[in-house]
Amino acid sequence: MDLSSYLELFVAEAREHIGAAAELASSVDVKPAGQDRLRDLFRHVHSVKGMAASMGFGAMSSLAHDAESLMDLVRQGRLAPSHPTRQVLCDALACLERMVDRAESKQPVDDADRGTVQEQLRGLLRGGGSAEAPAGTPDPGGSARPAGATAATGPAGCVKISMIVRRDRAFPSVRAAVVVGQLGKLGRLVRIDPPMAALRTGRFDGRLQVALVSDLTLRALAAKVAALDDVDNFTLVPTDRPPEKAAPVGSKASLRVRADRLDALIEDVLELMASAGRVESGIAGSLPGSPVARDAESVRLLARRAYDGLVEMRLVPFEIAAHRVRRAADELARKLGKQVSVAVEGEDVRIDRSLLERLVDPLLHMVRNAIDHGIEKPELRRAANKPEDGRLLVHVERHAAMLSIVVSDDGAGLDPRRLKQTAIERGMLTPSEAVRLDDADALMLITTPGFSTLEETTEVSGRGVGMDVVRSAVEGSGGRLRIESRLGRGTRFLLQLPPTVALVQAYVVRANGIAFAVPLATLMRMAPMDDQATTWRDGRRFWNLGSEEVPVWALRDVLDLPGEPNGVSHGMALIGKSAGGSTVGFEVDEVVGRREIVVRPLPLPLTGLSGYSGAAVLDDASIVLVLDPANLPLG
Amino acid sequence: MQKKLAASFLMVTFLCTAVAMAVPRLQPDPVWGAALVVCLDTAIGLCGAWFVSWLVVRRIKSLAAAASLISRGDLTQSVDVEGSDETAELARSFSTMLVNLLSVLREVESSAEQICSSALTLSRTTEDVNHATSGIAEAAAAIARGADAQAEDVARTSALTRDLTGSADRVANSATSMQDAAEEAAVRANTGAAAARRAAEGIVELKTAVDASADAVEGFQGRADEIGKIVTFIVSLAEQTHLLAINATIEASRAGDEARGFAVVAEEVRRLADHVRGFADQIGSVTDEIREGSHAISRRIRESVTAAGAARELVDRAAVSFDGVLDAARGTTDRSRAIARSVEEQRTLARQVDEALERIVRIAKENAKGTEETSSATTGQNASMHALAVSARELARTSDHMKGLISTFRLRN
Amino acid sequence: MNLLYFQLGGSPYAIAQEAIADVAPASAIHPVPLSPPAVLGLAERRGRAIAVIDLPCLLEGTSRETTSTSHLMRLAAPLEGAAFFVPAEVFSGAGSPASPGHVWIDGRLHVLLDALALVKASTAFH
Repeated sequence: MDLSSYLELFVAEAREHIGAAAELASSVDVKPAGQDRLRDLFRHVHSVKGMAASMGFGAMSSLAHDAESLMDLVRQGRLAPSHPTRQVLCDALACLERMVDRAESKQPVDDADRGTVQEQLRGLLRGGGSAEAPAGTPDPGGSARPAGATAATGPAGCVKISMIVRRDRAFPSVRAAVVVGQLGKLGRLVRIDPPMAALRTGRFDGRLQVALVSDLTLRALAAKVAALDDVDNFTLVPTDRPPEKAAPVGSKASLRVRADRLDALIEDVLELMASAGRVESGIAGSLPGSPVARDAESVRLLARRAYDGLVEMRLVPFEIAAHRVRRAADELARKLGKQVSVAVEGEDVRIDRSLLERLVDPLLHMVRNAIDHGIEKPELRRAANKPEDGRLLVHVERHAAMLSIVVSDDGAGLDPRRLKQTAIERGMLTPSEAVRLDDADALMLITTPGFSTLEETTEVSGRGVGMDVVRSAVEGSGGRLRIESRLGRGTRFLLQLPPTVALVQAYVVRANGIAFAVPLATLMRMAPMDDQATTWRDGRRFWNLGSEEVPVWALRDVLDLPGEPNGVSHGMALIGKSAGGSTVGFEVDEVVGRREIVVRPLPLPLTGLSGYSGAAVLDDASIVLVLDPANLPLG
Repeated sequence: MQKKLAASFLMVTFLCTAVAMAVPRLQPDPVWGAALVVCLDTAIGLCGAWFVSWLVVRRIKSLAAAASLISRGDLTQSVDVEGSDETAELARSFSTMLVNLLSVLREVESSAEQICSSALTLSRTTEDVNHATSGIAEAAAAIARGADAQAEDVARTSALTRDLTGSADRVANSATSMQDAAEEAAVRANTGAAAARRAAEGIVELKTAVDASADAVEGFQGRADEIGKIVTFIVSLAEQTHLLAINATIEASRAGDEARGFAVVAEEVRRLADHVRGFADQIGSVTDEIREGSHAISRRIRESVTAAGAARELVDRAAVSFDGVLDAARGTTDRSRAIARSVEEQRTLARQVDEALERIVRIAKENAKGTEETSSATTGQNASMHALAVSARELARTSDHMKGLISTFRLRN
Repeated sequence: MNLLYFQLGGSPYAIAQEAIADVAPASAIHPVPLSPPAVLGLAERRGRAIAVIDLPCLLEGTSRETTSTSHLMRLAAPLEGAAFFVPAEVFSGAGSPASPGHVWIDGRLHVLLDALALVKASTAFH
């Protein structure tokens, strides 16, 4: 059987499972009573094992099998999910991940470290029965389970509790429901008899039976149940675990879809939306108010809903990449003996998934850079009067449809002079050129291909990501990269990215008969340019905003537009912020109206052309350039 | 024109009356007075007649000018319209009319000649009369010589005056025949005008028919245009198919081996599209030729419509000219009537002269006795006769003048 | 190799089919102020804007001649979003390599175009 066509699917699924498992594994000892999490963790590893086996990757499935066994022990409480255990598990997962990567690039799947990891796993497994956790192991957060619990005082597992709920009190069914709720806090309710629906209707004869899966010991459980006020009598009987319930089918089930198929569908729906818009305006023109016109409007609205829904599917929260970033940072920091506290802000900012995919590796590279070269070792930091913990912040924000990601550290910073030196040494610059370079441009030198002073081959799975790749990834997505640094204080990498596709509220304006769109979010105000509101000084026009005078540039001059003004007596000024932060205005001939437009970055030869944040196609299939007022070339 | 004639007549009448009133006062002798009156009146009348005929000649000139205008209308063209339509007949009748006009004019000319010769004759006659009167005087002086000679002279004079009368008659006849000719010309002009109108109507019918065929041609042209449009559509379809086939080949080459069959099909589609395109181009060029041809036909039809319209215009103008001729002919008729009248008068006058001369003879015979009286009378008479001769010479000169005027007409090539 | 070929200013050119996504009749082009001279502007295609590169300008130095048959050749990935303006009839066919940068098609030597180099060249501002 040729499994090569399933490889893609396998890689995607395996990555997901491993990722989820890693996420769970990194937090499993922090939060109490994570029976669910343990079970999920187990299941993820189990899935990986199964998939690897069916793909014929023996090494991988063997490793996964050992990891699964470990998880099983932990789940059963026979092994404490302590730090060493967690560590081994993480190592195993990392190893599995590497193997998946190799599978994807069609290399032999086995990994160099597998043997070591499996040894460790088996070591733990062998000691699993008696699972002695080393004494004094700090267990931050405190587990609900006492260390070294035996079967007798181990987690109760699945118990059947039969109770009599006191009937002499008012609303017995309500009280029974309350009891059920309280029991739910003690573990996972697998079965409730009579069912909650019956209780709600008031049908209750006083006899309540539940099957509960709990991490508590039988004794503790019994004590807790006894403490319930409304329960008169009860019996606790451990039972067999009920069969694992399949994932509930219904609204919460998820579906795997190929991203490019989704993209193609979005393109089609976008066209559908544009056509529906044209049909609607065409019918509204010739048969206004008719039933057909209303239907045309419905079609457009439905197309719009479909489009919005599909675009939603493309958006994923940054959180998905955040955990990888955190993990990588933690690992590297640990490896290099540095102390770093990593913070990610804006995890819930939703980003187009393809953009995020393209940015993950560059982000990881920047984070690793920051930890490797930026943040100093604790001793150095102490000497420099800095806190021992280095701070690494990844800040994600969406502003006016532009995505901004800032990776900043409070480390050693970059030295423009040294960078220039290195560039001269490597023959990338002549000394005279270097002299003319200002600090900002000098900092950008590190994005020149081949500049990296230190090659990172170890941590990055041989992918050879350098700052030049980061820059091209950012610019290839139509964005811009800026680097700021203060020697000794820290470095900031600022990424500004246009959205892959964004529905933006914008004003369509005209200058010299040519139409442009200006996103609402870039505007502070719009003002008519009549003589009362403006003054002339030194050949420049100023618009009076209270006491402030805002310089107004004519758009036709800024863009050197051909043709003649529309012949209006005075135009409208769009007031916004310039790149430098000051307020400027741009005068256009007229404002046509407000539209919701789909902004796409300018296509290939025009990417990076400053002054535009993209182009949009209007309902009538005409093209408007979307202006970026902050970056229009003035003067 | 009439006013001038009336005026001249009035003038003649007035002069005659004036003479008739003035002479008796100057010449108490009733006989000589009467003779003087008669002579003067004759002279005046003859002058008047001369003046009138001069006017007519002048009018005739303008008539000839009008006639040449008509000939410049080049009606030979209309003869080329197929069929034996009225225009040919018209041209013929017109030339006949022209010929008639010409003949009329020639007759006028000859009449003028006759007048001239008559005037000369008159002049000579008056001279003769003068001579005769001098002869009378001599005769009176030589009354004794014999009244026969006188009588002979008088007889000769009266014969001459009879000739004059005869000439006047002839002039009157000519004038009458001219009148008749003019009337005939008028009738013919009427016929001509009617024919021209019929021709015009015929041309209108022709134009309607031509318009109808032009419409038919346009309709045909419209269908040719439709074919042209369909051909353009087919060509654009072929172009689109061509592009589609190219895009399909691109996709096929990307799809790899499995799509090779598809690529072949796409290639075939492209070739087919190119064939269709070539064929459509052929149809297109044929249609263009057809359209060109129908355009040309339509153009020619339009041209013939325009030509017919021009012909119609010419016919209309001919009709107008005919009306003009009609008017001229009427004028001619009127003038010829006037001539006839004046010649009548002239004749009457001549008769009167004749009678007067007869009386003169009688009187002369009677006066054979009173020699001295006769002598002085004849001297007076002589003088009068002399004056008469002078006037007659004047008449001759002026009728020469008239002849000269007529000779300015080109009446023969 | 599968090629698309056409004539510009009398010279025959060809380009690999795999570099092209599709060929369509030229539609309205919206100029972009401040753009490089070899970029004619943006055209609408299937609801998106694509950048139109003036191929005659890059190859021959002449500005575009408006003919009745003009086409936009949309480039395939990774250059999608760009298109070449070709004011000529476009044909498809097979060719065999000749000297570097040239191919034989139907016994005639065509210049083989490099899409990536042309797109890069079009970003120049002089």
